Amino acid sequence: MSALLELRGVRKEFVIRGGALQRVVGRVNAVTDIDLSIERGRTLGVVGESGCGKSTLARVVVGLHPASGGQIIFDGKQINNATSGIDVASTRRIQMVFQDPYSSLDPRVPVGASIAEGLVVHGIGDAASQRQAVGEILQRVGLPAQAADRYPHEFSGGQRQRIGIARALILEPELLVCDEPTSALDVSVQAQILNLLRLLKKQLNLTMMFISHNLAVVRHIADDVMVMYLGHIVEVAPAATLFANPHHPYSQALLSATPVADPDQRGKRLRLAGELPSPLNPPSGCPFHPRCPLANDRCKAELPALTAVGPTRVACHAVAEGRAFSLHQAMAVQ
Amino acid sequence: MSEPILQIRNLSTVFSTRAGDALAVDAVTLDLNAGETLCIVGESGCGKSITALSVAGLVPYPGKVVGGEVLLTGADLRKMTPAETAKVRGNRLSMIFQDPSSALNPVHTVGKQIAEVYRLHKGMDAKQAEAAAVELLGAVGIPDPQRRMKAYPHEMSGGMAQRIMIAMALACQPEVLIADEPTTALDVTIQAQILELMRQLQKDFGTAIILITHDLGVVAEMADHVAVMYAGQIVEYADVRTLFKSPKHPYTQALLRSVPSMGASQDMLEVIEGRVPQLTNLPEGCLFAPRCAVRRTADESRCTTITPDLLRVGPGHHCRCWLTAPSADESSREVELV
Repeated sequence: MSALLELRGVRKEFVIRGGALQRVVGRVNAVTDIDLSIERGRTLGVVGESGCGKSTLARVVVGLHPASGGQIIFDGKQINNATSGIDVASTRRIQMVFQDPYSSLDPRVPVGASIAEGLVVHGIGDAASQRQAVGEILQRVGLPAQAADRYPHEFSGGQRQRIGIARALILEPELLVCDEPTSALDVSVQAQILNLLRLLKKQLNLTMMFISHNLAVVRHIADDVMVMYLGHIVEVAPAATLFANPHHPYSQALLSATPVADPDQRGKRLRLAGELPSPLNPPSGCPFHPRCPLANDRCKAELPALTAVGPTRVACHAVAEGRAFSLHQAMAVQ
Repeated sequence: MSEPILQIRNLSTVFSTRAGDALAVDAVTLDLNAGETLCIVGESGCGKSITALSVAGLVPYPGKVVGGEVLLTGADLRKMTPAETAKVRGNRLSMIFQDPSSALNPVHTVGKQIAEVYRLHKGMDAKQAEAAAVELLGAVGIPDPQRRMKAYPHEMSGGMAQRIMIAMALACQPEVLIADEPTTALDVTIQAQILELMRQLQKDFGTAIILITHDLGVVAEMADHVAVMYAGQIVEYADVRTLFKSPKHPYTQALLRSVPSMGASQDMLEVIEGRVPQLTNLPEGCLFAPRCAVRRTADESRCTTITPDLLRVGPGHHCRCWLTAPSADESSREVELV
């Protein structure tokens, strides 16, 4: 199997300007040294809390933010350059579904026009064939073809997200990047959208990058899962492995903090103290060390690299040194 | 068991709109015991937040509570004068909202806002109130409370701001706390901290909590009793174990099955077809009937003609369904949750 998407040392830095002269007052590394690859036909789930850089990463991959460094390799070819994001020919093959189906559609145009926009931009087909394509893609996402003439406000949240998916799929992309596509939806509607994405992935042989803060959703849809913290990858593993046997203390805490819909599981929680540090002023060494019960002097000084442990790759000194086993006890004592 | 601390009896709230009157809360009856947590769960638009606001007497225009009683230790909040309600709210009954950053006043320091509660309800002077506020900030786990008193809401993270809200709500050790989606805007590790804090404070003060949420995981984590709402009505009420282990109402059953599990990856999730009905255009009969998978196979004519009552189906377990509840003429007819 070959990797469809590969990132090598990708980082994204935002410059913060302030004052009357808009001088540079700070720099934020939103994502740092991201190495990943997604094989054709697989789904990579990206999880982490707000501010961990997962949405920035998605935007870098689709070219909405140019990467500040590193290589984005798509289908064997580097597609990014330092100034203008990724090259236009590749944007057609990489499409994105956004989080908020209420604000991602233009309220002033019929949804058919929004869906066809990609075809118009890339100069594909004439008006008649575009219209036909819109009708077909609407049916594929479970809406009638006539929906094309209606406006976004006439649809429910779930229907709008279907339109968002149609809009991304009309260019027949190979890679679909979904940024929290169900976070704004109710659970019963979320189930519809997740089922649709699974079905489309199978039918169209899509490769997906699926960003979410909801671990259960990622468990359901992803083949591999990547956990991010403060712009860094802390752990990557096949989904079943990560959920059964998380190595990184942060992955363990994240899994444990997620409430499960079963009253018998109540209270068995590892609880993390503190909050995510400001990315403007990141901690030295391992970004997780201020909240980590296993942190020692090495963790405070030295950034751990991703190392393989079985099928998992994890960035943690405690795991590498074999100190990580007593984590449950360590947290219970706290 | 002793008298419930809060009794909600046939509470109804109507929103008058151009499209007609919408019955957002339809004769809701619930009891809340001291030290207990009652979760109200349902999808967007099911009326759970409006129920909470109706209890607190904070329904926004054009909504209006049109009937029912809210008895706080026997006294009806709805019959009180505005001055009397003002004394109860924030003192004996207080509320936490979903978005802490918009519920706090941005132009005052958080210290001033917390101290205000003490000054209004406990008649403390500025110095005493400040000292009490500092102590309270410490109690809800804010590091360096002395310095944080001078901070403005925008200087706080979401988790911090929600701790401030909880501090304000609990300043007077209220008998009843209504929390409307208190952790929805927060990350899971912070959510775990806030839920733990609520549980701890409940233990310390014996506060009864009404927790409104759409997250069934949070319900399983926190609730003693659960009320499931659909289109303004309670469709099922039970203790938390019964509700998760043997739900009776088809809506509750479908809702539980539509949640993806962390345990294993399922192939397809169960979905509930269709959407919540518009309150100005409700279906005949059972409000859930148009989406109900059980009805489709059962061929029960009452489902689409007569609205079912909320009937007792087991000890402390009530369900509003023609198909899974006992028939209306049975002797066990014990209407509503008494």
